[in-house]
Amino acid sequence: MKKLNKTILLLSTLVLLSGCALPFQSKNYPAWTTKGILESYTLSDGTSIDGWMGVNVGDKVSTKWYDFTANTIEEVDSYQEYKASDNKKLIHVSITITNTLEKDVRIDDEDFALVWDLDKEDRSYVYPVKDKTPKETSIKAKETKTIDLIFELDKNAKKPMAVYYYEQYEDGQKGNKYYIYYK
Amino acid sequence: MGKKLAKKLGDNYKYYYGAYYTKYNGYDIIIKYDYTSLLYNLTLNVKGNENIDKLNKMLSKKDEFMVAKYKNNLLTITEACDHSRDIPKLINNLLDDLTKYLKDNNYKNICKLCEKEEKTTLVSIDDNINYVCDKCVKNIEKKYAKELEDRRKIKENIPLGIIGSIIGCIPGLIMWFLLSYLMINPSVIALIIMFGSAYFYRYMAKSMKLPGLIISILIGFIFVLFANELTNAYSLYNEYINQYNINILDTYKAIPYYLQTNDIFRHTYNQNLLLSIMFFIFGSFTNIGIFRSYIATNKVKNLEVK
Repeated sequence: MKKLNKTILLLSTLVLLSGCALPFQSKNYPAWTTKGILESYTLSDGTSIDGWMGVNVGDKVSTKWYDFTANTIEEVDSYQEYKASDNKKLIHVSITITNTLEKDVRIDDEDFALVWDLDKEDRSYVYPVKDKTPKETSIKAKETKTIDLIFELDKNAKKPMAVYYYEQYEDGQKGNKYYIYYK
Repeated sequence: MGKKLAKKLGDNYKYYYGAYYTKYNGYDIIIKYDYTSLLYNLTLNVKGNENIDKLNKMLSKKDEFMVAKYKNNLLTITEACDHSRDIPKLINNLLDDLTKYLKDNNYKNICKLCEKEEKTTLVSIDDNINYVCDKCVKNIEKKYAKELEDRRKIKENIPLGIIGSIIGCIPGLIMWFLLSYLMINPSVIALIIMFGSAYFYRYMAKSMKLPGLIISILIGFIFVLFANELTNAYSLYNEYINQYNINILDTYKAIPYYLQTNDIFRHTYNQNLLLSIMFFIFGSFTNIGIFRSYIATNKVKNLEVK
């Protein structure tokens, strides 16, 4: 009888383990990195629009005007003495940007956003905290600068998230979207 | 057909798995219809003169296509018969003359196993049905009882059995993946997985009792599920490898997401899963068969006892 109990225990463990591993491993959005820009098309003037690209932290992204790399994306308790309000959390992002043009470019505080619920049609997003991010950063031709962005978002927001950048041309035409995954 | 046969035989016949068994004028007779060759076979276990030319002559008078063959104490009479419904007519026309011939020529009804002239009973031995004498039945029962007792004494090594079962599933898993690679639905390989799981469990554990049966079925089931996941992961991988930096593990982890968001994928996944589970159920009969060989006590069944 003891043997039978042991066997039942062993089988229960097997069933539980199998339940964990198969077939319902995770319900998260896969957040795979892409091989270049997907689903884009090119206008007659050579401008690529409406595409999107997913990369990991540390991967370089080349946009129309500059290259950028997210050095770190991490959850922090505070940033420059700024603490998250109740039921909120802070995500700090460090991005290094290199101006690839022969003229100066401006980075607005709302050029980057943090998005989550990536698997939903209506994704949630926030822009950086106003007081803790310069309203505008100017980068000279061929210059490289590192900027810090701090996002305050709902405490229950879950990974995978992404730092989001959307190219917008001066004539209002939208370019491609870039996602730097935070998994 | 049975009712019509009964006109001649009374209630004195049994029907098992497509064959009629009866005793008529002291002879054990088995009648079976072959739907492929459109013939019926009437067989008797009899001992007597090997020369059956006279019998064939008699049969040819009834039907030129009726032939008797006699080898190893088995007399087989074959006659063309386009429909099974015609058998009663043909048989009823034959039985009296045939048994009279056998009696007149001193053919003795014998036991199928010992081939001695003994009183026989219709028995099923390992699902093979035939007329066997009581002595043979007792001997077989004794032999099986000893075999069962010996098997019961073998200690089942469950940990080794688990390892064996897992090892036994691996060839099936590889074949499953190969068929997926060749774009052939691999669900049928669930049979091989279950076979491997059962046989290798028994090989390593030296026995298969109830825990062994449950464990081997469970391990086989997990492998079938895993193999099915692997196939789906591979199909996702094939579909998206040109666009994303992915490996099989990535697509495997992404299955739940695609199940939720992609109708075509979900449909294919469910279809494959259903087929796999169906073949898993068929395959698990191997496990049950092996298990039964260690516990079954009813290998010999007397079919004449009501």
